[in-house]
Amino acid sequence: MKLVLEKVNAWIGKKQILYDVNLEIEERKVTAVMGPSGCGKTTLLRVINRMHEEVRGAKVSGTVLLDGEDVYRMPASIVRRRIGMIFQKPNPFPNMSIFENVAIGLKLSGVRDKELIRRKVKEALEAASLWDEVKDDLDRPGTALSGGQQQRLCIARALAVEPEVILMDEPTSALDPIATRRLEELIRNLSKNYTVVIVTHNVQQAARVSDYTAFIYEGRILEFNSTAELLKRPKNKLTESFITGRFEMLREVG
Amino acid sequence: MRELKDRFMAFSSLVAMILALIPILSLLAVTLVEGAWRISPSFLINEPAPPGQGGGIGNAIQGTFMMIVVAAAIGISVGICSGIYMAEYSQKSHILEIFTDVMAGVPSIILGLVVFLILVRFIGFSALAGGVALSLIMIPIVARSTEEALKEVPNDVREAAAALGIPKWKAILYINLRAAEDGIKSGLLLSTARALGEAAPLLFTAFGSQFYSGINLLQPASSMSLVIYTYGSSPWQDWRGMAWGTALLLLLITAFMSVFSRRRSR
Amino acid sequence: MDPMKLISLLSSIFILLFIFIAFFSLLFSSGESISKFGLRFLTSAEWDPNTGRFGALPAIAGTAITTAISVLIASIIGIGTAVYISGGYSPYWVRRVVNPLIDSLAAVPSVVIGLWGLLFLSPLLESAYSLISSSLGFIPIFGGPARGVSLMTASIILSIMIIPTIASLSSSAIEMVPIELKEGARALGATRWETLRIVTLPYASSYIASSILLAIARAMGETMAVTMVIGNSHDIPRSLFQPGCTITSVIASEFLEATSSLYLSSLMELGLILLAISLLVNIVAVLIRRGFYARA
Repeated sequence: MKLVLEKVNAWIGKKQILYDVNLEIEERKVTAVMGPSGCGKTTLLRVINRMHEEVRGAKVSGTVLLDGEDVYRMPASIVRRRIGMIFQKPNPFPNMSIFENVAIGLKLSGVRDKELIRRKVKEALEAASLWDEVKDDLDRPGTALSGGQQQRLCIARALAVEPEVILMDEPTSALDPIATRRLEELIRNLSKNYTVVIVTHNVQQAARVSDYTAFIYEGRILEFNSTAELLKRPKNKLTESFITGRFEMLREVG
Repeated sequence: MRELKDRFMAFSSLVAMILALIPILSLLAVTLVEGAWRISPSFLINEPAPPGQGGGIGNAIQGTFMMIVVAAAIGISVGICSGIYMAEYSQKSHILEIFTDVMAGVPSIILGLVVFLILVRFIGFSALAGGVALSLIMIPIVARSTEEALKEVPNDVREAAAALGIPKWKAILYINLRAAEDGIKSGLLLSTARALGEAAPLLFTAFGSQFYSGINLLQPASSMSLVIYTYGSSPWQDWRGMAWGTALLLLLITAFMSVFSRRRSR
Repeated sequence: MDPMKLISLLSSIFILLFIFIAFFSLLFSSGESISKFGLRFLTSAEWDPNTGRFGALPAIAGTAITTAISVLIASIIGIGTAVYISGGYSPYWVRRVVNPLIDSLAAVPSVVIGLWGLLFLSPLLESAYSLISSSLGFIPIFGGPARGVSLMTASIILSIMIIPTIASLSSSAIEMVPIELKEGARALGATRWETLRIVTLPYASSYIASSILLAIARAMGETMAVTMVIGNSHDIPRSLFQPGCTITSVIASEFLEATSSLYLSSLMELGLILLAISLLVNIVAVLIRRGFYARA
């Protein structure tokens, strides 16, 4: 198991968001964290790479193990280099070119060798399936790209520092259907080399993209199984109604 | 009747606007006419001479340049750092913002007095003291514009940097400042243009001089703004003409700078 | 602690401390004149370096008069301009042409305005004053002999310098008034002026007031232009068309000639008075403006 979460609880101020979360993420597979809006999916992700603690009043208890090491006992900056994150809305660095965007993570961790940097940037852009589209003009501002391209730029930026795990927080929600499809293909490809955890509220996306799915509701993991199993034979009533789209109705009745 | 009142207000406000515009147009025209023919290579290079014997403002140009360099070095470093603190580190920046705005409102002659009391007694009248006085004008302007530019940088940029494992101070230095660079640069240009035109704080710090002062910052120095003041108020036609020429030069420089700054922020 | 946090904190502390440094250094160096003259300094009109008697009254009066007149003129012209360009009386392109002109005026150095004022405007004004003085001279403030270099000219020059402050801030204030309010009034049949009078100007009034306060602070502290056109006379001003002095003009023109320590100390005390008043005005203006932003 690449990542193990044990009895993780999380709060913002007095409000508790995650309750006794236990999860095992398998290496080089795509694990989806699925659930309705506002149920803690994003917080779950942010607890893994310690972004949650950046918020004022944030608190976490429990353990998060990366290859058996407690993430909360390592320096946060190292954790975040080993576990990368892609956000909902693409956020390339302003006033920086495509090249600079991808290179910055490397440069700021001390890499000086220009040839090495150039090579790593190319590799990252290739792995993010963006290289062919931008190779002729890497000096264009990152913000000049389309939404889908910007998101792939953000992926390249994250890949450049050579993480082992990639966390994705609803990465296609700001994209049009074509860009979404491209990104989903990319995600499947990435899982050959990286462990991917993707948060989504879209059942079809989980079906297309993930090997395993965890269903989260009101801060609790209600069910976890291989995606195929979970979607065909959900064990939990709420899971079933979410999958079949009758979730809202059930909430009103229950 | 109501229509009449409205028409009357339209007319009076138009008159007000015209009255507001006449001085600047007149000033630009007069300065151009009086000053243009004064500007020549010898004007720009020579030291001043007694009235009627030619002379120029070369030393004043040099003095201005040196003092602006000192002022900018201090003003930019203290200003940007302070702006960074207000935007990136402090929880409630209101108090600091108020103090900064109040510092900006201190009359510039008072700034000169303070630098006189604190610095000139130790190092004498000098370009350095003048530069320090000018830096006090620049600091609050640079600080506020840096702060505002940094606050415009969206938070998801900071999140992206943090998620890459970049420590906060590196992110500020290499990413946030970069993202805010347009606003910061325009603040720098604005404050420098302002410092170029000031004379009051230099009266008792740089003091003024008739000579080139070389690289020595510890000698009294002249500036273009001081020349306009002293020569403009003198009884000699010749010297007053030099004041006009200097005024035109100063206007051209500040105009160039503000056009440049507006270009950047587009 | 992160090194950048430390350095930037120190810079901010410098700004916080500066005002106190300024105030206390002036206070300290005014010691001699404060102990010698006490409160009489504020009420005495004597200014004689030879006998060592100094009184601030003419300078304070001069600052007050020039500030008051200039702010009055500038408020009328400035707000009027703002009304014209932002109040619906002119097409959009007017704003785009006029704003840069007004901003350029704001960018002109004080010494240049002073130069133009001294060498171009005051001879012109002298003739105007003589005309007024010959007909209205029975009113003391218009009494002759009229001089171009006088309190009135200083007031006019000051007003020219502060018009941009009032005009552009008032114009912004008018534009910040929510459009729903303005359109609501117009839809009810109000004329442009009525909309301004009933809706827009009242809403923007605190912001405009703070711009006037800023202009007051600016006018009080203005040195070079005023010094060049005011004539530098310590007589109690009886007529606006006569030379006078302000706190800033006294400091500027006499500092380097202060022969005794008492003289110097008196000038410092003048500076202290100016600093105290301008701090007060500035703080109030800043607070009002922040209140407006909080509301809008």
